[in-house]
Amino acid sequence: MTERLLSAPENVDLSLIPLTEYGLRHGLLTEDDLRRLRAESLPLLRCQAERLTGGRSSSLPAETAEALLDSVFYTISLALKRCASPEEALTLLRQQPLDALFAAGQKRLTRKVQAARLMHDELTRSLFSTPNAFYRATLVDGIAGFFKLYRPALFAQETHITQIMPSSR
Amino acid sequence: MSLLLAFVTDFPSPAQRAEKLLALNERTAPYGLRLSAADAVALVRSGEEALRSTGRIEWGDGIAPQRIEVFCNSSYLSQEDYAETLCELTVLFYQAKSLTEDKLSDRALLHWMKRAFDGECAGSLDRLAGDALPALARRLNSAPQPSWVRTDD
Repeated sequence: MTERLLSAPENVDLSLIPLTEYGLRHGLLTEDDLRRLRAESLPLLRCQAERLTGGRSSSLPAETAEALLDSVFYTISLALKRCASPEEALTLLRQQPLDALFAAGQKRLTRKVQAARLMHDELTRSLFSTPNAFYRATLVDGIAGFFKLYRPALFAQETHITQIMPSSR
Repeated sequence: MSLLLAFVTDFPSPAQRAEKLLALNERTAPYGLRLSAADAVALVRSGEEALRSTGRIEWGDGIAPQRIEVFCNSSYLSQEDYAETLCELTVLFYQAKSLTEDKLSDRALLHWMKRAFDGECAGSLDRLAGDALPALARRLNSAPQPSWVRTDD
């Protein structure tokens, strides 16, 4: 029952890896498709690694490489999540090269970050007056801190917690 | 290797890497140095083992070809111990990358190692491993992070 609910099209996560698993399970992706996706992932990882190191290192700590690949898949997933159904997303995955989906995801991510910045600007202009220093510190400086730390081009999947917590003293 | 990295399986095969190393024999021949096919495979294998033990991932042809090009004119290398020395330098290179927390580029680290090997270490890998590299790591690790560890995109 749980398995059936999880694999119902409306409940399928359209992120790259779960979607790939769904596609293979339901015969919507073939082993050849999977081989192509794997082969196309490495150049993307290599390109991101070169971007990170400025081409000055041919190796990285495994955890950094994993974070870069996680970011690539997260970004591709943003392009896939525009689709209305897993079937539509799988068609896109079969028809488009992975670098094209990555570029589409980056475009979407850039727009999302720009929209979030605009919302933050709007928010900082509409704060109400309060003696609570943490209210302003969190909404203005804390969120601005997120934008300062967030590196969508390389580590799009990262979540930075920058809220200001009052101490108990 | 993590599950996520295991998804990416198209790293060059050891045989492909070994072929590229053998192609460098032409370059090292004037110095009387030459790798056999077995040496090249052993060098690739030692690189893989060093990457595993230092928790690193490498792509493309890796650093082995550059290492050969940088070290081949060292007066401390001879055909008798050429392959073995390259294998040990491979291990030391990745250990140094990790010890120095990636503060030096591949090229800068290789050239630094060559200078130390030919200079203060007088061709001794033990002195390179035991004295020179730890001293370099201590010096670098008291300096700020490299620009690429934290850069604005």
